[in-house]
Amino acid sequence: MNQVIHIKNLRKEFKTKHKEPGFLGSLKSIIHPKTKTLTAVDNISFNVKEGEIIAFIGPNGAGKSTTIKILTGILHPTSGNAKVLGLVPWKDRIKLAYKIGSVFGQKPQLWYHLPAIDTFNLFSKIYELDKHEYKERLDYLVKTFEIKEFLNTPVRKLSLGQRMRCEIAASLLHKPKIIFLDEPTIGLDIVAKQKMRELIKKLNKKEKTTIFLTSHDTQDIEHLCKRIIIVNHGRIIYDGSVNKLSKKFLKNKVISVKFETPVKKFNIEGVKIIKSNKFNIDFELDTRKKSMQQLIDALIKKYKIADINISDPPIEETISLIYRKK
Amino acid sequence: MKILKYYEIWKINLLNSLMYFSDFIFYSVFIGVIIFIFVNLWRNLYSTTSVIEGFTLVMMIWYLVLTESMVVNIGGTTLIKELNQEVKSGDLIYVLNKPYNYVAYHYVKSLCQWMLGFTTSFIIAGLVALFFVGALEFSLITLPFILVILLFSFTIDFTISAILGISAFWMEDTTSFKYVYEKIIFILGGMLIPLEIFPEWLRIISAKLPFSYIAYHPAKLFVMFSFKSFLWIMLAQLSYVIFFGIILVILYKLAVRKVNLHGG
Repeated sequence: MNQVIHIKNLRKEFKTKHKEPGFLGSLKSIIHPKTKTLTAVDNISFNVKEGEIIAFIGPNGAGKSTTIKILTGILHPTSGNAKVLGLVPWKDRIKLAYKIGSVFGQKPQLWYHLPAIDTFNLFSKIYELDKHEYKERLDYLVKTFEIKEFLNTPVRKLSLGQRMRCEIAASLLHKPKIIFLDEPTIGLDIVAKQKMRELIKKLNKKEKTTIFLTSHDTQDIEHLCKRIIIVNHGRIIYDGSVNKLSKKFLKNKVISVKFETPVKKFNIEGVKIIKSNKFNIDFELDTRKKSMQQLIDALIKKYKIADINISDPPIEETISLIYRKK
Repeated sequence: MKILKYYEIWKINLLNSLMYFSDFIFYSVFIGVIIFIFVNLWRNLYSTTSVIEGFTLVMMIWYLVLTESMVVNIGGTTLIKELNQEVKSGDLIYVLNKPYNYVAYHYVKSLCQWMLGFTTSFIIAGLVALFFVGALEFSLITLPFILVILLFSFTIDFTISAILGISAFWMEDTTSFKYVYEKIIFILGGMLIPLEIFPEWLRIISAKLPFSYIAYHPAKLFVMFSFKSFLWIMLAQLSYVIFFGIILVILYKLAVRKVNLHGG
């Protein structure tokens, strides 16, 4: 598969004004303004292949949005190289804009007082779509995103879920090869989130659109992505498979045991009970302290087991641990 | 195709502005009230004479109808603030990530708002003037020429306002620019009184400055039309548009490198 994003040693520094507190500090900042350099993106390098769904996550201020803004040509980096679909984003911003789409969950692009169809029509002209091609594409997106019934309703009257579906559909009108989704499920309820994930998956499968996703919702990542890049303080701290993430950072396993006979007292050393009743118990095992073999031997010896299930802890826990560590 | 997209931007802005049409009406009614006050003020001044510095009372009031309608709706009052806001709030990302020219996008957007605002203000203020001082002697043949001059007036203002607005990429706040620029147009631009009433030295200077080509010259041409004046005014306006346009383009190219949108 082709590489659609290539980043090498990318760095972005911001200069912010630094002012001491109080009136004297204000006066000083007028006479001798001081600036502080903040490194938002610190020498990051990675590649993204065509058709990948990649999660790009990190705590607030980690440098995710700054990276997306560089990749979409909005920001110029301080140093380093980046190519998106063979173009240098900040040099070929307009050319690149025809090939990529972006949705920033917290910044709507639809005209608030007008129906979504007005924005769609505008975008068809901005992206210079042929009339016939636009009509076909619109029909397809309206059907896929199920937005027909509120296409003519002013955006301000739509629910957040409906609005986000329209936002994403709008950014897909020109068939972008890559779509940058910056927190697309923010503020959505569970049903709307699920719907949104289904749509993103469908889009990726049908059109082979590369999806570059940032989200604070680990469910988004688990449902959509195979690969995850975690950034913190502008640096990449993990770039790899979502499945292997927990294995790398957490040595714990979550074990659910079902007993054949009721258990009055569960007595196995070195485990942390999560929840329990007479027939079922869920607990965590630190594999550095006790091996799985030892645990199973002990369980079989002491209890009559009907079923046993071993899993990794939720990804949320792993990510939270990574954020706290670095 | 490329031009078509700017027409569509103009069109959607028109649709959007119509949602706020009551705002335009409110502004325009306010201008109507100002014209009513001017009528009373100038009537007093004209009680002993029929002509002041070449202007009759009717000419003076219609002059003011045009300058007021022009200045209240130009970019100096809205564009500087809008660009400042766009840079500060980060809304810039949705203007910069589309395949169009940022400056041209704002030009058609401002043009649409100005056209709607100016037309509404001129109609309401004109009706007040018509009712209190009567119609201006005006030939419809001159209308296209006046419209060309007005478009250039708008464009000069746009380039200056955009230059001041784009400085938001460097400055924390450009509100002070907006305040000073507005006041300069009010006085040196001839919005409140024609430049003829100024002391001679100030009239000469003001008449050469770009601000007077936004309000004074177009309004004077409107009430005292001559083809010679039209050509001179248009030539001067064109020179200012080119001059400020070049500065704007250079500044924009520098500004884009300065985009400082940190955070989500």
